[in-house]
Amino acid sequence: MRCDEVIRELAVPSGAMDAAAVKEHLATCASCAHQAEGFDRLDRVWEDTRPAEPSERTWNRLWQRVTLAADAPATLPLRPGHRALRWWFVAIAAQAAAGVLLVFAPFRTSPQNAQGMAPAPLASAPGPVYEFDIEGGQTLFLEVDEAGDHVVCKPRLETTQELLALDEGENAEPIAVAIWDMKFFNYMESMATVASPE
Amino acid sequence: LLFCGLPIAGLVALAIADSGSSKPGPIKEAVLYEQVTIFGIELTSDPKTIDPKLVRFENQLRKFRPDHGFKLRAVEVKRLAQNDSHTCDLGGGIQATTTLLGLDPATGKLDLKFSLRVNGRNELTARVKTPPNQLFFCEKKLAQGERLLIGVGAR
Repeated sequence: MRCDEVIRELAVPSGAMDAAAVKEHLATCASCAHQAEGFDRLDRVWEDTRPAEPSERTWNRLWQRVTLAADAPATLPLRPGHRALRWWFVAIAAQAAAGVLLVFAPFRTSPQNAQGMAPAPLASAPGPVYEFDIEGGQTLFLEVDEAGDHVVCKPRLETTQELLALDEGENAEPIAVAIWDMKFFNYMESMATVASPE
Repeated sequence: LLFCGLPIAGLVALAIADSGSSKPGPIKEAVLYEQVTIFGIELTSDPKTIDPKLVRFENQLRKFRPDHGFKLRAVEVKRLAQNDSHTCDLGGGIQATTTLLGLDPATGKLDLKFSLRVNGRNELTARVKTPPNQLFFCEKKLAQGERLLIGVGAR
């Protein structure tokens, strides 16, 4: 029995393969046994976290509502008039001004921060809230360090392009990390202990 | 009284009128559930250290931190509903908490709040909008050149 046949049977069981033969193969092949263990872990995580199946009654009610909604006449979005637009503009401008103040105020009070991020005083209870919007293929790193009586947060983003550059042997800076891919995420998740509901 | 009362009365009237005209009733928004994973890898000062559980990714980890060893401290996964949180105890008084704030239907990104606490003291709070299936990281410097790499992902 070949390894790929065993792994295929474990991944998508067909029932056509002799279970005893599979068991025997796993007893003698460390690589397949390791993968089988990973499959088992993944199954356990899935079993412990899968959403509950809705009842037939719930399904029927849901479809009834979907049908009603689909048959209902389309509603056009409300377009604000000029007066409303003016108020929207004032509200947005006020929000933007508040945003600018929030972003730039810490810089003025923290000249020692070379990275441009505001240090959070250790003594203050919640500290500042940093906000990040990540795109697909980007990896966010938040480096947290204590500098005197402050906590300094240095964020950096690494992109898939940098990872590719490293793979091609180019001198990519910062040193890109080829581990932050889906395989790593899947593996870490499969090793996890499932936290019990609170 | 007239100044305050009229707008409030108007709003109440609008609410009543709206509730009466909403048959068969709006479809309730689907409840958001996402599975959140939090893990902590200690980057030790001894480069020879490699946790057996991390051997599979040893080459990649060594590219990331060539001068460190790697020891898995904790990895936990939890299914969260909107506004639920999960705290992962990473040892040494360090706790990482992730809260599922929501999902942006326009971009498909998850809205997460990440907090790092050390000995009960908040060191970092970050709100991260991220596509699902994508990890982000927090690297906390420890004593004697050691570090703790905390990974967070949701899907």
